[in-house]
Amino acid sequence: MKYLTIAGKIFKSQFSYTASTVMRLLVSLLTFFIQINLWSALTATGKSETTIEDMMIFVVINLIITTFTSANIANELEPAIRDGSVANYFIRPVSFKYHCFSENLGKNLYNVLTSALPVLILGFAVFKLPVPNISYFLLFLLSLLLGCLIMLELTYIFGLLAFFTQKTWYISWYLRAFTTLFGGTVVPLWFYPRGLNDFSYYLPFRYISFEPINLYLQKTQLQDVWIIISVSVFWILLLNLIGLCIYKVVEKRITINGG
Amino acid sequence: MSFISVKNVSKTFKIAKSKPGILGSLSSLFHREYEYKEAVKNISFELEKGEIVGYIGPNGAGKSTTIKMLSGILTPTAGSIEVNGIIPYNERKRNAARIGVVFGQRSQLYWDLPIEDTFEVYKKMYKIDDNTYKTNKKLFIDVLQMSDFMDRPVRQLSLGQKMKANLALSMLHDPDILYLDEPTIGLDVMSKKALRECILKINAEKETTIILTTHDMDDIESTCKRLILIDEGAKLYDGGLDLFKEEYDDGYSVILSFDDFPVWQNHRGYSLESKDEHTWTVSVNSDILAKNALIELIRMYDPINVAVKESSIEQIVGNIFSENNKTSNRPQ
Repeated sequence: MKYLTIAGKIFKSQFSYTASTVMRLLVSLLTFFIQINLWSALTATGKSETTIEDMMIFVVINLIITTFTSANIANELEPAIRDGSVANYFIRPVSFKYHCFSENLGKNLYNVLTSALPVLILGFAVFKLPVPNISYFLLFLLSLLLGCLIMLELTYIFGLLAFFTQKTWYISWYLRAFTTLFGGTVVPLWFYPRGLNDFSYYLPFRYISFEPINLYLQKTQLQDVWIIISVSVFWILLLNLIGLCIYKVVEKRITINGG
Repeated sequence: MSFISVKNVSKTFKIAKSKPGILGSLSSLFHREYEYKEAVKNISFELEKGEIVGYIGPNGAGKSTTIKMLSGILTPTAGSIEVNGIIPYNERKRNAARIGVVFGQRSQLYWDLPIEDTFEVYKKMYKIDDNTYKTNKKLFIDVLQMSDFMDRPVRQLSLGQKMKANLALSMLHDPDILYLDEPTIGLDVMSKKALRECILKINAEKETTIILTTHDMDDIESTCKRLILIDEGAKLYDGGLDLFKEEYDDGYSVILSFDDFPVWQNHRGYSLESKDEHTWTVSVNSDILAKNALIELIRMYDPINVAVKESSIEQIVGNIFSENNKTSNRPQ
């Protein structure tokens, strides 16, 4: 499979940067401890039904997903579009989108293994985090996969916008802000005011990591799971379609910078 | 039907005008003016299978834009292109599988990995079978002398080494057509020679059609039989290299050295091109035999030494471009 080969080579090339790997791991550990301390102080007041174990699971799963989407297509595409090396993507007999996806997969898989996995192991070995029953666990994995796909499609769309704006960092910033706010990646949506929480159902962001976490914690009723899964799939299809339309425009209008 | 056919192709880019100064930049935030630049104007040409064509022109003439349209990256604003029965900008992937492209200014290699790894990716991407892959890899490593640096990460390689690797990469899948956009840029004499030999070998053995853009006329003279000349997006010349020389070469130069300069007398067929401290460069019409010209010039001016210099393609091309600029800059 050519896309797997691309992903594999990118994965391999990440090993040249051990210093940044170590730094990333330290950042993950620090984030974990800061958030755990914060949440243990907040949950100790006893005013909420949410336990510290819930919050640890929340922090760990969010960490995995943020790490898995840390190298995003928008950030990767922007410099390539600005200096024109994006031309290299187009002279190869591969789909532009899947080429982007596989390069991302390689990088992010490496990041997850080197900086999120250690925290995960720490969480389960030291803090004895709870594990859901098998059916919830499988559903969790499925929605986790769908969540990652939503994020991939989103960053792809934002990346394509760089063909029109040349710079995307501010658009990426919006993407991150929306994910944090409506996806509840820092403060879980349980604590949100009702209106904001209701509104988040109309956006794709909560399906990226918040719904998988709910499944892991068995907070979702089994009979409601199909709704979450189908809404996630709906978002993937819709975003995929939007991406396709933008790509069609890019294909016709593309200019390559530089000689 | 020709192998590659380009018919009345134009490409216009919309560019945001930038105004000078900080105030100008600020005002462009509120009101942007656009201008349209015609990078390629109504160009047509046809190529047969197995031809090597030099595609030359000054900086910004539209060479790379043409290559990008041929390889399917850009869509022409007007006109049509057909390459080996495929319309490249409509079927980019299918076209890409059968061509090889080298952009001299952009490397396709994975920066942190040895060349070998990029080769393996290409093997998968182009679905190259094991045998072809092995033979081709060995062939290019030999011809381009790449064996010493195959296992080093690309970031440690020199420009020339990367260029060789890129060329090898573009030919790994036995493409029908090679588009080489300034492949010899920044290379030393030996590497240039190796690259040219490789291009000729591939063309002879595999009947690969090659379009080569370059600023180095030696590249053209040693590899191409045909030349397409463009300037400011429009085609100026298209034809054989010999014919080109015949048609545009208006003679040769004789260099005369003196201790004391005599007085230059205007005479038909000769003109004083330049003079410096001790020498004159006299250009002579091609219908005067060099032998006669020398006798005449020695008799007239009695120099201490003489030398004959044939005009190179580079000079001829330079003349044509400067002529073209003069005519196009004339007020209309």
